[in-house]
Parts: sequence; C-alpha cells; structure tokens
Amino acid sequence: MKSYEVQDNMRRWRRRYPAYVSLIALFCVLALWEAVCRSGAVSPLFLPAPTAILAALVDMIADGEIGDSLAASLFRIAAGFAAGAAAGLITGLVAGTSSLADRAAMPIVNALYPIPKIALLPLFILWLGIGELSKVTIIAMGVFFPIAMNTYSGVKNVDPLLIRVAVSFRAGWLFTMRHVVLPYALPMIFAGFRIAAGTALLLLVAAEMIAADKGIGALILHYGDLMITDRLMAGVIVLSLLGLLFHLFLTVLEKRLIPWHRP
Amino acid sequence: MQLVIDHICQSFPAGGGRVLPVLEDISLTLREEEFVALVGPSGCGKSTLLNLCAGLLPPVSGSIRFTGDDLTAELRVSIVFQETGLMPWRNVYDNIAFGLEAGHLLPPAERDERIRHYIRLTGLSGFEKAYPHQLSGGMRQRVGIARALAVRPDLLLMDEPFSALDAQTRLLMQEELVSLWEKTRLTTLYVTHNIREAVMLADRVVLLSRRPGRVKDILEIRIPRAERALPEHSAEIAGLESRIWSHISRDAREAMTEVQP
Ligand SMILES: Nc1ncnc2c1ncn2[C@@H]1O[C@H](COP(=O)(O)OP(=O)(O)OP(=O)(O)O)[C@@H](O)[C@H]1O
Ligand SMILES: [Mg+2]
Repeated sequence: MKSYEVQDNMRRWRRRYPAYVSLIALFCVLALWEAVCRSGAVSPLFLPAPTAILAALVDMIADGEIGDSLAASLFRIAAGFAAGAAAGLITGLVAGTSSLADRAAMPIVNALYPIPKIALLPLFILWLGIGELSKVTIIAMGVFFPIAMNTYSGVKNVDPLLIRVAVSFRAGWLFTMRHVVLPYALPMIFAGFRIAAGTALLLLVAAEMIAADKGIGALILHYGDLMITDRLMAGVIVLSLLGLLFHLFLTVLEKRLIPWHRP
Repeated sequence: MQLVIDHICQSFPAGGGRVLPVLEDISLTLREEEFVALVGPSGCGKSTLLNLCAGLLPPVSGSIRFTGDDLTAELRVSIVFQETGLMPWRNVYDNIAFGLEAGHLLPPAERDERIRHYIRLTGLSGFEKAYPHQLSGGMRQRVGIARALAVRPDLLLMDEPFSALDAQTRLLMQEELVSLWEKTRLTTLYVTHNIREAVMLADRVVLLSRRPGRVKDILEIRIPRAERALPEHSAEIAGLESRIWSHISRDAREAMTEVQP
C-alpha cells in the first residue's frame, strides 16, 4: 500500500529566523570592510576601517565634540519637529473635517508641498537671520507637509458608518473628533510622522552644512574639508543612530497609542 | 409617544443626472410600546427608512415626527446597525459605554453598573477586554445591541441585528429579545429578512414591495408574544408566515432578475 503524507505547503512563507541572524550579517559586513581596509587595497583617506572610525568616535565623545554638536542638532530637530507636527496635525484635522477649511487651505498646501524645502533656506535666513530660528523653521516646514497631508487623508477616509454611529448617540463635534475621527486616522498619522522624521533629519543636516558652525551636519562638512575621513564617518554613524532612535521612539509610541492594531 | 412616518419619499442620485427612487410614499405610525417588524426584499429601502427615522438622512419629501402628550425634548433614538459599526479601537466594554459617554448620560460612577448589566444580558461576560476583531460576527452584533440598549432609548431601531448569528443562537437571542422587550417595552422598529423572526417578535408586520419600497400590507399579530411558540398556535403562525411568504417571494424573484438601472 502506498502512502503519501500531506506536506506543510506553507513552510517557505512561514519560515522565521531568530534575531541574532541580523547581528551575524552585520558582523560579516563589518568584517569584510575591515579586511579590505587592512589589505591596503584602498587608501584610509577614502575608506577608513570600522575600527578606525570607532576609535575616532570614542575620541570625539571623550573630548566633548560629539556631545556639543549633538546637543545643538537635537535642539533644532526637536523644536522643528514639535512645531511642524503640531501645526500639521491641526491643519490636517481641520481641513479634513471642515469643508470650508478644505476648500480654502488645501489648494495652498498642495501648491507648496512639492517645493524642496531646502530651497527656502536662503529666504528664511534673510527673514529670520542666520541663528537658530531659520534652521528650526525650515525643519518645521519640512515636517508640516507630510503630517498635514497624511492627517488630512486619514481623516477624509474615516468610515462614514462610525460617524453615523456617533451622531445617532448624539455625540458632539469635539467628542466625535476625539473619539472617532482621531483614533481612526491615527495609523495614517503615524505613517506621516515616519516620513516627516526622515525629512527632518535631511533638512537638519542640509541646513547645518549651509549655515551653522555647530551641529552634526557642520561637523561632517568640517572634517570633509580637512579630509579627516574617519571623523567624518563617525559623524555619519551618529546620524544613523539618531535616525534609528527616532524610529524606535515612534514604534514604541505607536504600540502604546494603537493597541487595537491587528498583528 | 408615537412615531409618525408621514408620506416619506426618498431617492438617491444614480449618476448621469438620474435618480434612483428608493422609498415611495411611506406612511406608518408606530404606537407607544409597539414592536413593528419591517419585511421586504433586499434593496427595497429598509435601512434607508431606519436612517431617516434616526435623523441621519434628510427625507426628499414627507416628514417623520414624534407625537405625544408627555414628550420631552430629549428623545433618545438608538440604532442597531446592520454592519454593527463598532469602534475597532474600543474593547467590548468601551464600545458598550460609547453611547453613554457620547451623550453624557450617566455620572461615570453609575455607568459601570449599567454596562455590566448589558454585558451579562447579551452573554458577553468574560469578553469585556476583547477588541471587535477578536470577536465572532454574532458576538459583534450582540455588542451592537448592548450598546443601543445601554442608553435606555425611547425608540429602538434594529437593522437585521441577528443576521450574522447561526440558527440556534438566533433562536436564543430572539427569546432573549422577547423577554427583554417584555420588561422594557420599547417602541421598536425592527428590520428583518427572516419571516419567522418577524412573526415571533412583532405586534405588526409591515410588508414592503421591492424597490421603490411601498407599504404593500400590514399584518396584525394578536397572539401574545410569549405563547407564539406553543403548539396550539402553530397553525395560525404558519398561516401568517405563508401569507408573508407569498407576498415576498414574487417580489424577491422579480428583484433578483431585474436589470439594474
Ligand atoms: N447613500 C446612498 N447613495 C446611493 N444609493 C443608495 C445609498 N444608500 C442606499 N442606496 C440605494 O438605495 C437602495 C436601498 O438601500 P437600503 O440599504 O435601504 O436597502 P435594504 O432594504 O436595507 O436592503 P438589505 O435588505 O439588502 O439591507 C439600494 O438600491 C441602494 O443601492
Ligand atoms: Mg439594509
């Protein structure tokens, strides 16, 4: 008698590898990089070894250089992000729910959205001076648009049935906004936050390279001019960590605010 | 308190400047503490009529009003929606609390007792913390029913509240609804596809024609609700059912084969 066992046909779609695989992969890339540098195939001026970058980073932390630059950069990005996010959130919520605001504001928002915001920096410097305000403003501008657009479309897409439920229970405007519209749009809003985080980092570095004497962007440009590549790369690593931290923060916040999200 | 539906006509724009007539000259009065079932083929405008009664849609012509000597300004109308309409970010408990919160109905301290009462009544004990996507279709409908009842409405509108239930649970829920209704005696407009359900629950059954919906017939059922399952009434019940069925079946067949506009 022949027998044929039913196979697990979903296996290849279900396969999960443990988290340490990621670490191994990272280690392999770094090891390869290190090996290339040690072999002398490329000049350390163009590509310093990971260990050299690490050593430079440790030095720069020890002499306070990273700390100073990071503090300046963090202040700018935090202030710019907070201002831009608040304005974007309010604009998106109001434009998404009020037909008047929609008609009045959205064409303007749509017209300004495609402008690469860094192009406005010279104008802002002219208006606001070379100090912190012009840099914070440019970051706020960059953050405002993706958050406003995403909030707007999240709000626009609210299930009309849920609005009818709220109205049938005689919920007021504010209650409906707070308890129906906002929660419904929250996943969309968070997607906007993620896009905005990337934009903020980009504008931060660009603005600091153009018009700052302190900050991670200025630091990277400075060591680029001096051709001290390992310190330049150390600055880039700090930026990468900053981006990761931002991402992690948003993930934690999202998990706490959106517990109903399906796995 | 009575609900007077007075010469209601309703239509929707169908694109290309045409209109789709949905309800045609509906007149109907729900008496105080009366349970009226609305039966008609799919698409004849039953949900539309419920939305009109709840003030969620302005009628194209005609009017709907409450009349009565002891009318208070704040009449409460609850709907059990066909598609449940639960908030995905609220668990069972908080979904049932929604109407109380939205209408600022009870001091928060007294809400808990009220909510727990309706959780027990709808058999959802133990699922207070579950989110809608973790519930079965029938449980979701029960949450919708509990949410509607928790505000103690003056008028209850139910749009096929048991359609996602299996036959056995449906029967249990019907019995549940009968005993609940005997206790609270809410004025109720109840939409159903299920003829047996209409006959078991209602004081009157209103038959709507296929779209555009018109009142074709109204049947009074005089047997006391609690006795309708007894064998001595089975002949009369069967007679009513076959009367409704003969009304519905021709319409339903025509509606199924009708070319859509
Ligand atoms: N907002 C709307 N816009 C356009 N057409 C609509 C709208 N709402 C309902 N209709 C149309 O009105 C008709 C009646 O809809 P309704 O939902 O009231 O039917 P129903 O009797 O509840 O049907 P069912 O038993 O299938 O739930 C349908 O043909 C539907 O396409
Ligand atoms: Mg319907």
